[in-house]
Amino acid sequence: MDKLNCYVTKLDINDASRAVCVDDTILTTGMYSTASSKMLANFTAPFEATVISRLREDGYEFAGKTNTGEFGMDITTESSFFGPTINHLSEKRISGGAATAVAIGDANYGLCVDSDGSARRYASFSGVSFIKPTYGTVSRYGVIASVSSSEQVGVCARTTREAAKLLSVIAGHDCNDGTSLPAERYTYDIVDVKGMKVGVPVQLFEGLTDDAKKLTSRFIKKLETLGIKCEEFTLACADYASDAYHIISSAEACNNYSRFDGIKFGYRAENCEGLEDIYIKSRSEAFSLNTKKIVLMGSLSLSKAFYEKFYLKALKIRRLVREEMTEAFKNYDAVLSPVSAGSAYPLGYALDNDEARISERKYTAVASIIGIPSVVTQCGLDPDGMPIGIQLMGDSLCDSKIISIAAAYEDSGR
Amino acid sequence: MEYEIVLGLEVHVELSTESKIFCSCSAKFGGDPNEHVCPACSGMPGMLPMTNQKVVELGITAGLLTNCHINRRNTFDKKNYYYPDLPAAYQITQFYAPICVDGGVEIETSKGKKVIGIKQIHMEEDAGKLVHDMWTDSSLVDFNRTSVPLCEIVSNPDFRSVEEVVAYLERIRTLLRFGRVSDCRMEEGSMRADINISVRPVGETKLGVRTEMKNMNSISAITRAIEYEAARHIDAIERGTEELVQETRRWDDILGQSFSMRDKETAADYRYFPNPDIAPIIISDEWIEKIRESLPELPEIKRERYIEEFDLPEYDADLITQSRTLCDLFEDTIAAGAAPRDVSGFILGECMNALNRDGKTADDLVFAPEKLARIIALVSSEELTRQNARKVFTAVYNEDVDVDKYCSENSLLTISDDGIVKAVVLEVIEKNPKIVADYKGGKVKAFDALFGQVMRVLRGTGNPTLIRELLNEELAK
Repeated sequence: MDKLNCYVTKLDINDASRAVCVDDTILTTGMYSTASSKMLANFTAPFEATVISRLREDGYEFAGKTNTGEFGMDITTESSFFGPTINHLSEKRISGGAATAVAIGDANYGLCVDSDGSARRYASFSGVSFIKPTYGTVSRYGVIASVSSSEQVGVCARTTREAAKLLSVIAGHDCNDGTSLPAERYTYDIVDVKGMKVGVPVQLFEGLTDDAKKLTSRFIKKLETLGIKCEEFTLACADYASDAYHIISSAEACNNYSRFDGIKFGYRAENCEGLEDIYIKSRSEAFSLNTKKIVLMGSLSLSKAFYEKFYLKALKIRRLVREEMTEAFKNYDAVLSPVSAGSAYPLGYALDNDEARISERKYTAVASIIGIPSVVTQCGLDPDGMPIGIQLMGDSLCDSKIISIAAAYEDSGR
Repeated sequence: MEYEIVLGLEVHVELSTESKIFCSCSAKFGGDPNEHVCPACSGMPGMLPMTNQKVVELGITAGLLTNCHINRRNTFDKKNYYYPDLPAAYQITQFYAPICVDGGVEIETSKGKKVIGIKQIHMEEDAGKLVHDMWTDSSLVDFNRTSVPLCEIVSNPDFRSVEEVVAYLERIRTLLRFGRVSDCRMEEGSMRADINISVRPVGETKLGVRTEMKNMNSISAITRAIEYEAARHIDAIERGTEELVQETRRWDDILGQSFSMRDKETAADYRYFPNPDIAPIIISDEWIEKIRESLPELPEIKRERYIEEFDLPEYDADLITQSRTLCDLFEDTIAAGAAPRDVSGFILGECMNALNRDGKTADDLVFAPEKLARIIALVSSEELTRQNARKVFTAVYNEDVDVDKYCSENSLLTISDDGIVKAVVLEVIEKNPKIVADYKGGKVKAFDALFGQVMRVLRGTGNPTLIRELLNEELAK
């Protein structure tokens, strides 16, 4: 029974401890891969993603295809064609399918594509851990693409250690992915964290709820008991990384969704008169409002009139963010960040709330825009009993460091 | 008022690769509809492009053959528009950093030599094909041609006549065929040209209104289209028959007219942006040098060399240098030991006859040059008569047989064994007393009759010199 609406497709499994639930933006054969969209509600992929093949070869089984925001590009699963996933800790709040399924023990692991930070947010909302790996370490072959230059398949699990275990199975060079880095394997060894330094960027910790602020302070104190020094610093790019990422991600997503035109596969509207009608009606009827906004924003940013002002400018800002974070990582082993302003959104809060999107994106955009790894772990519960998570961002290919910090924190009893 | 026409060309050629540009589907021409298709070239989600290295190699080759500068840092971009033959609704092309820039091709016309400037060459993928189905009055999409690799060669607006355009197209075709970049068969669509044309009064430096005709696929149609369009422009200017607008027009070769299509120029905003799935391709100096070293000698150089070094007649040299394959065959057969004139004789004789009869071209030849050299050697050493050499060649041409094996299996080698021939001579003399008597009585022709009989018994493979010698010897007795 799927009361919480975690699944688009639920599968029978033998052993939850070796079971993985898979976001429906990742292609699997023999069943639908819908990306939680009406556009692909009846789409059966002719091949499976590399990450799926690797897990299968290593003896894992799949608990089902889980619900996300449409195309994994929305802050709430309310935009899913199949309706929202309900948070297992409160029927009035939302979450994501995989994070919830893992939290309630359906499966030990979840594979989530982190395109716009939502995978990190849902993990935070459901009280689980999540690793977004360095861009290029996990193959994107077989992932229904939104933000090609930034998204990665990450792993959620009840602890960071478990997530890292699964990550080492799926990470590694894939000759089918031209953006895949050369290393054949990644082992994510846990290292000693005593003496490490964690930077706390003041600008990223603005706009938090009081509960989140409290729990963040508690988290920082906990790190210090582990021998980790935490220090505040200025992160200038915090203010503009989010807008730049919004431009880049909508431009790439808009382009990636162009193939959904009602001609070859997927949803085609009925009663169409001519080619343009097929295009317009099919896409208008099958895309959620959020996706339509992304398509419009992307088309605008790439148009002749705005290409330089928006898109090129965003690419340049990306370079500035890269430079500033590289500097920061000279001083710090990890950079701390909130995942969200507070705990899980109430139903209806985020659905058409553009301001919420703008303010929430701020926390996840830095790691997305430059493809650095980020680990989400839990700070504690707010007075309503809802979890609040926190992010540890690391430099490219320094996934082990941040995994180690999160693991040390979790081992010490959170 | 006298006008001059100003033309620019964008020539698309399909590259001679086994596979498509971003996937490993076959790039072969033809095939059943949607036979050479995979999720990548049919726009399925989840697919990623993997660049075919041979495509970059051929792009560099095309650049070197046309004296271009090779850009060391190449990127691919996405060109966005919606049409059913474009499965992902974008074409992967090179907009910002094409592989070659600033080249030139020398052409020769009745007015002399001239260099046509090449603005750039870029790599891109082809689109699919739409076929109209009469029965259901619908369009059917065939993705076989989607993602077939193309080079687009963009010229400067340096042409001033139809003759120059034709000379340029033929020169590009020769260069690219020689470099094995493309087989440039316009009739198969592996070479297409977009013509940009405008007119202006002689002496004027500003360019006139430009119209474009796309996907022209025969030189004669291009000639007719340019002549018509130039006249239409001049008419519009002189007599105000219509207003000239910058637009793409459709050339109808049957009606001999151009027609306005939807005004695409201002409407099209392709929203080019760099393809994030393909890392920039950095071309090393070493790679360029390696390709430069493997470039073929150009046909005009070969022609001179064949005439001087091999003493070939001009006519023969002209014919052989039409085709890189024939040149390779010619040179390799000589390298295997045959005399140049003998080789050219065979190539332009037996070889071309067979190809023409079968409607094939030199690229369809299946045998190795060593075999041709062997046949020629056997003829030179009188082990094969010319007639039998033709038989052997036919077998080699059709089935690539082993020359010596075929000769012995079919008893084609000239028999020069004294003992065998003498035995037959004696036999023929014995069996034909009347003819022998005629010969001895003065009838010279009787000798030929006896000769013919001996040859018949030997199935045409008797060494003629030896037969004559032995016949004379025996008849003298």
